[in-house]
Parts: sequence; structure tokens; C-alpha cells
Amino acid sequence: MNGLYMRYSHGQDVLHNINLNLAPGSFHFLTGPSGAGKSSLLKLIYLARHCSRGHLQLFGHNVAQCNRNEKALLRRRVGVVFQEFRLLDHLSVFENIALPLRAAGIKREVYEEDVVELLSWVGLGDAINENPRALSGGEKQRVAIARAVVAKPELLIADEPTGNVDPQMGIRLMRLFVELNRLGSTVLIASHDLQLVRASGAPVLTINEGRLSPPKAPRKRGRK
Amino acid sequence: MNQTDQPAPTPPSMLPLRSREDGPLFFVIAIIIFLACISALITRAAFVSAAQWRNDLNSAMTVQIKDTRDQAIKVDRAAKVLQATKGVSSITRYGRERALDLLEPWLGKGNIPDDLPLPVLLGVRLDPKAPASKEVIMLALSAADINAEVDDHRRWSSEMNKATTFIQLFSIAALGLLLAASVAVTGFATRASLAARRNVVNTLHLAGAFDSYIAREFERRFGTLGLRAGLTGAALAGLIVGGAQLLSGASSGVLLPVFRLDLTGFGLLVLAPVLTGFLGALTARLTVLSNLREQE
Repeated sequence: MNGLYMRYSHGQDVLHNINLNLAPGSFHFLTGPSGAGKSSLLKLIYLARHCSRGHLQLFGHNVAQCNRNEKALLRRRVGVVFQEFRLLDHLSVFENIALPLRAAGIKREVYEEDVVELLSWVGLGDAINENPRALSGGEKQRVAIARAVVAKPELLIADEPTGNVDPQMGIRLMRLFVELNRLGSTVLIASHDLQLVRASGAPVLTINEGRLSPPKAPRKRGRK
Repeated sequence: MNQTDQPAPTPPSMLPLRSREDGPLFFVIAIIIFLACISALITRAAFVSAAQWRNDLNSAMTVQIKDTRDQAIKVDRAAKVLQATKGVSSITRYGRERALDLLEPWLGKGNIPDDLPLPVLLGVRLDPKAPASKEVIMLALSAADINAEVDDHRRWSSEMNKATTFIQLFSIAALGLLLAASVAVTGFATRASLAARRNVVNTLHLAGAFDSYIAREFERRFGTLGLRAGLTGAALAGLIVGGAQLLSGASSGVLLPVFRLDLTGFGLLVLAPVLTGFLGALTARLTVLSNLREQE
């Protein structure tokens, strides 16, 4: 990202001169107070929004020059854990997790076993046919995380992924992110949980009033 | 891989099966298609009747023998002359009884003295491929020394043409407006449905679904909805028209030519739901694609 600015409709810029390079395979946390622009920055990266100025490059592609289908293909390489989960209530837990794979045109028989295995991993093996409305906040969050990682994305973006789960499950989910990172995925997690951030030892990006501070020197990631 | 022998179940639609918007939309489309089917049948009947009326008027003339002296001889001669004229296919004699029948509504029965001379009429049916003109017939009769008046129904034909053209244009306009209304309603409903399912669209969009994939989901939904609603509307129209046909079965069909459910009429009723389904799918697709483009 070079000199990125972003605004909603005709309002004022909410992001100012963002310069950021996420190296492939890196692991970063993004922190900042509420309304600082964390979610806006993430939206730019997972291509939910356009920048008003500047240059965004994703997986070596200049996003401004991509057509709609090319952008869709780029989105498939990004897994997103939304703060508000965005689960589809008319689909089962299984179908929600498999959604990115279905959207990519993959047949059920190809992904069925992987989805079942992932469900067990996040502790929802018994909820495979449940409706998301029947789940607790923490369970919904785990479904959202499972959906974000099911396609083994090259870039994983998570907005407060451990906000609704108990500390034990938080640690378990962080392990999942670390594991994905070890397998080669680039991970960017927005979090208020400073304890979690410090414990991870990963470099921290701080955003305040739409301006991004240079990453703090990485510390050794704590093993959990 | 699925290790079981059973085939994997078909994945459910990405869209919720039912929504509050779909029920009223179903009824609105069904009603519009019902009206469109009735209108289409009337349009078709108007064209058929108009063609028939024109044909009847253009392929016939009436000859009135004015001579009252030696009338029977003159009528025989006129009939022979006309039969021999090129472009005439048949002659029908309307005798005194027929003339009395025609005068009865105005003068009443039995009010005409037997010795009152009445003009004799000859109905001339023309060859539809090469009909004789009024002038040719007049020339032939005058050459045979017969004082006669020839009516080629032109003034009726002109009035009839105006009336049928008006009916045809009115029917086509009504049909066009109903089809336009159907498309507009489907487009409006698709937008409403899209707004109600924005979370689904956004989630699919961010999961990397192509626009065409998302549009296809809506296309299927609204295509099926249009087909079902169209079938209901067309079936209802078929029942009404069929019922009316049964009720008017004994009549000659002169005054009720519109209520005919023949093979073409039935074809129109079958075509209507197919067209509605197609239009529903197409409208939904275009609406979703344009909405997705506006979204970013």
C-alpha cells in the first residue's frame, strides 16, 4: 500500500496516507482505539472498499487495474473473519463454513471431509447441521473463523476474532492462526486484546485517527 | 472425498427459501399474467374476427334487381349473366320471402300487401383468388339490359376496417402495457429482494463469488417464481375462457368470437408462463448485476 486514502461516500478521509507492506508469510497485529480506522483499513485490504487515492497491490496485482472477476479471484485468496460474523441464518453450520468453497465452484464431495474435520477442530463437530441462530456468540465466532480458513487462504484477515470466546478457546483459535501462518498464510489480526497481542510476540501496527504508525519491532512470538 | 456410496445431497440454495416479498409478488405476477392471457386471447380473436369480417365483406356483393316488370325473367337472366361472369363463384337468390323477412322488423308481420312489388336480391359470392369488381358486374348486367343496383359493401367495409383496427391497436397496447408492468414489477421486487438479502449478497461477494454466480442464484429464484406465478395466471385465464366457451357453446359465435380456446389459444396460455419465467430470470439477472456494480 502506498499513500492510501479512503473515504465513505462524499465524507472526509477516514484513512490518511497509509503506507504498508505485508510480507508474504508475515504475522501482524493491528491495534488502535475504536473509530481509529482499523476496520476501514481491513476493508480496503479484503477489497470491500475502494481507496480514494493511492496505490494498492495485492498478491502482486494492482487492484485498480483489475476487473470485477479478477477482484473476485483475489478475494478467494483472502480469508476474512468479520467482527459481526456475517453468518447466513438460512444455511446450516456446515454450509456456512463451506460457502467460500461453493462460491469458488468446488464440488461438495471434494470439500466435505475437510469441512467436517475443521468443524471438529473448532469444537463444533456436533453442530454440523445446526442453524447459526441456535449457536452462542462464541460458537458463531468459531464458525466464522472456520469459514475464513477453510479455503487455506494466502492472506487471513481477522477483525477481533477472539472477542466473544472464552480465554481457553481464544488461545486455541490463536493457535489455529499461528498454524496457518506456519503453513505460509500471511495473517493480519485487528484486536483490542493487548494481552493477547503482547503474548504473541508478533509485530504490531498501530492506527490512530486514520494514520498508521510504523510497525513496532517484532518480539519473539510466545508459544502457547 | 465422500466415502459413502450414497450420492452427496444437492447443496441448498444460497438464498433463503422464502421471504416476505415473494408471496405478494407471486400474486401480483399471477394476476398480471391472467390479465395478459385474457388480453392476448382477445387480441388474437380480434385479428381473426377482423380478417374474417373483412373477408366476408370483400368476397361478397349484393345485386338488387330494380325492374318489377317481368321480374322473374329478369332475375333468371341476371343470375345466368352473373354466373357466367369471370370472378364470380356462386349466386344465391333471395326471393320475396327473404325480402319480407328483411322488412319485417320495420313494417311488422303481415302489413305488406301481396301485390306490393318488392325488389329481388341476389347474393354474389366472389372468387377469393380473382374477385370480379363492382364495375365488371354492373357492365355485365347493363349489357343484358337489366336495371340493377350493385352494393359491394364498401362503406361497411371501411367502417369495419376502422373498428377492427381500433380493437386490434387497443388489444396490442393493453397486452404491451401488461407485459411492461410484469417486467417492472419483477424488477422492483428483485430490487426489494436484493435489499432484503443484502447480507447474503455481501457475504458471497466477499467470499470471492463472481457476479454471474450471485446473479444466477437470483435468476433461478425469480425465474421459478415467474414460471409458477405465470402458470397460475394462465391456468386461471384458461378456466375462465374455457368456461365462457362452454356457456356460449350454443351461440353462433357472431357476438362472442373472442372466447375461443383452440390450439393457438392454448399455445398462448402455455407460452405466457414460459415467457414470464424467462422475463423474471432476465430481469433478476440484470437487476442484480447492475446493483452489484453500483455497490462498489
